[in-house]
Amino acid sequence: MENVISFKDVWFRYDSRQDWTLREINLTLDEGEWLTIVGGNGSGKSTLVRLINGLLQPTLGEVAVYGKKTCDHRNLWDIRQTVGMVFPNAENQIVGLTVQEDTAFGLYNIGVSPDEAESRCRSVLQLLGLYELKDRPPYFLSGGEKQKLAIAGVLAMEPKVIIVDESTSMLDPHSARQIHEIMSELHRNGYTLIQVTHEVEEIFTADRLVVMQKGKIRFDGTPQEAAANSCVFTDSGLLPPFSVRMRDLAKQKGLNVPATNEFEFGEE
Amino acid sequence: MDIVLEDVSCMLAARTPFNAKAIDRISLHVPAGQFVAMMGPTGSGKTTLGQLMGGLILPQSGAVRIGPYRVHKKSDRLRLWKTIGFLFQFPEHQVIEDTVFNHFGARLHRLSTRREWVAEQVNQTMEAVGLCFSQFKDRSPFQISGGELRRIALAGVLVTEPKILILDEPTAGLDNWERSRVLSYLKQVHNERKMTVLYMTHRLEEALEYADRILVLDHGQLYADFHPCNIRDHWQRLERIGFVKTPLLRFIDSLEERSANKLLESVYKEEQLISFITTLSRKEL
Amino acid sequence: MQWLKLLSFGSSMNTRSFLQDLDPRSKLIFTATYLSLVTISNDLVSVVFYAIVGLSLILAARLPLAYLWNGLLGLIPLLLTLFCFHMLLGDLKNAILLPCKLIFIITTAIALSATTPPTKLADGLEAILRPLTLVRFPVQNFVCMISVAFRFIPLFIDETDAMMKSHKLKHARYKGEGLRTTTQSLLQLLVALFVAVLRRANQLALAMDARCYLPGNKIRARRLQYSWRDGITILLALALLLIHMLLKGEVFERWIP
Repeated sequence: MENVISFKDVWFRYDSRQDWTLREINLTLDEGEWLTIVGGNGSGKSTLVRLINGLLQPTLGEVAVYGKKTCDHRNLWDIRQTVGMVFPNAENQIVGLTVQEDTAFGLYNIGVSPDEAESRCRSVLQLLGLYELKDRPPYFLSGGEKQKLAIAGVLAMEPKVIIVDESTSMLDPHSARQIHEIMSELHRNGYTLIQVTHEVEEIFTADRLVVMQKGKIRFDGTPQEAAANSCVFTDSGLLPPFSVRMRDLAKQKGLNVPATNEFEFGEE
Repeated sequence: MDIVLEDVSCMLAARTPFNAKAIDRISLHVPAGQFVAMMGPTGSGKTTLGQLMGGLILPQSGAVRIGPYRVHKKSDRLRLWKTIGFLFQFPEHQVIEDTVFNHFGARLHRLSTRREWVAEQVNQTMEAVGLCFSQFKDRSPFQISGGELRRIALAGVLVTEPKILILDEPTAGLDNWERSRVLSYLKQVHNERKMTVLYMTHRLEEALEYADRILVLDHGQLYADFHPCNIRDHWQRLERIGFVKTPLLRFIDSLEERSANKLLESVYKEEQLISFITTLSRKEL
Repeated sequence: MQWLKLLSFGSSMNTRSFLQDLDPRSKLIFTATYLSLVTISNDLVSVVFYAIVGLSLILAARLPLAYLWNGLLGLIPLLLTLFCFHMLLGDLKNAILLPCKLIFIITTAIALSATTPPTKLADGLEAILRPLTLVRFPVQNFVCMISVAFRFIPLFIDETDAMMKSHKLKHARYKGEGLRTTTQSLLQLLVALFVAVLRRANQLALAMDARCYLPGNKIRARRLQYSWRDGITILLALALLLIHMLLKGEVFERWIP
């Protein structure tokens, strides 16, 4: 089975006068996997995901989605329907004058019939708990609701891969938790998820973890492997998750440590 | 300079169909030099309260007094604004001069016109927030983003040595290192200059770690008011309005399940937890 | 400044009025006729007539007068400026006419936005402009751009508000600033706002691309339907036109030596 997403020797920079933003990226992703990419601001993680749906083109190397290369512009239409992307600031993604209109935006673009569009929007909005707000202008939504609307707009297009780029950094903890629950639900329903975040506490729900620093991938493995060896984080300029730090400290005293899994975000 | 609010109510967009009671009869007293964290779900009125306490907006009813100044009098307000530093949520709204140096210069220029003195002050403040003076001073703020711009805005606010500092979510969108840097600098400045700090945030970790007092707002009313060490007493109420346990609190809960150790009850900060663990001996766990 | 937001959201008030049940196309036709006639009218008689029409519009829209009053209050500085400007030029007629025209235009805009959901307005606009596709005018793009602009107006108002507040704080220290510093500050604010707008536009463009946006591809779902009320509205628009021509003719007659 072909990889859902594959990066082969990808290097990227915005300008030939500037430094490389991404260096020697080799990455593959399988169907149904939840990948979390973690790194500080400026590590290149947002740039990396923008290469997946063709918003940016690699300077060197090749990116392919379900075998289709992003450098071939004829593939972009299909790729962007297969790979849905939720951007960091929900405010700057919402185009419609009402919740319903924004959810249907992508559908009208891909030529879905009005009746089909309406039924898809209804099911997606009901799934996310926004159906009662369907005629509300986006200005009157709370931060969490706006983020959910952004997700709705992407889900309505029925993608197979969903990229969630730093969508909880500006939200309050309650809304952030709701978004995480939605992501877990999507993962259970078989979507391939790529989560980009700078918050190390959020790594535990993922199947796979990639740690980036200065454009390079420093670690590619499971979150449990990373938690067992905290220099994965410190070598990449990140503070390890809280439970990992405390466990390391307790270990120094030779104490029996609680398993990291107990502090997995969202599992209490 | 202490801050006193007496039965203050504030409505946003009054007399239009969008009016909403942002602040509902709040009375509050913040003594000088306190580090207060203001928390609450979105829409609870945190930002409005911060702006009220800074004299940026006027309440519909009630009185706000900051030190000797009454917010209702315009002349008092103008004098008040000289001693208040306000950091907005988005530094792009604040740092709008053509170069970083001019951003600081705009404020310092009034205190003294000696270029060397101004340059020296700017240098010191920039180094303190961890920005290289020579690298940044002539750059346009529009080319700087995120954490760096926020640090510039913070330095700009601190350079005039205000007595009251009001910060609206200063660490939103910053990664861990940048956040700890900003916060430790803030705490250092607070300790040195004994200024009153009003810190609006969603992050309970930060409030527990740095604040002397936590105020929680809900729907424009004061929902809770306590010292961080009493977080456990208030937890049930806080959970009802959407508070989520921080990793530290969850860790403590888990430790408490294993050993009912009296010392744990007073732990709410990371350094306390660290010292607790280091002083623990093998047989106790 | 908050009154500008009223233009984008008036329709969140649910007044059961005659105007609300109308098809957006007839409303647009009436409004366009009324506004163009107001703009080209040049004498006091017409102004009084259009004032009466405007008042009936407000009554038909069942707008709470307090709401309207607040919106207009924000305009007073501008109206006064216009008035004084023309008085200084010695032009009494225009000094009165121009502020009045501005009031009519704003009132009509508020009445229109208060009784029409913005999505319907966009549909109506697109339907009316559709004939222009024959001359290759990008109607769908144009309407899409206007919708997006409307969506962002309140956000830009909030940003400007924040920038002005920060400016107030920064410059509270000096009273009696020279004209030079005030102009400088104003320019800085404008530049900052412009940059903020461009940044949002940039991010928005990326997001729209990610959702397969291609200019000119949108198919609007809603079907617009005319009813007897729309017939009346269009007739009224024609009546306005007729009355305007009669008035003009009369005035013209009076001036023939």
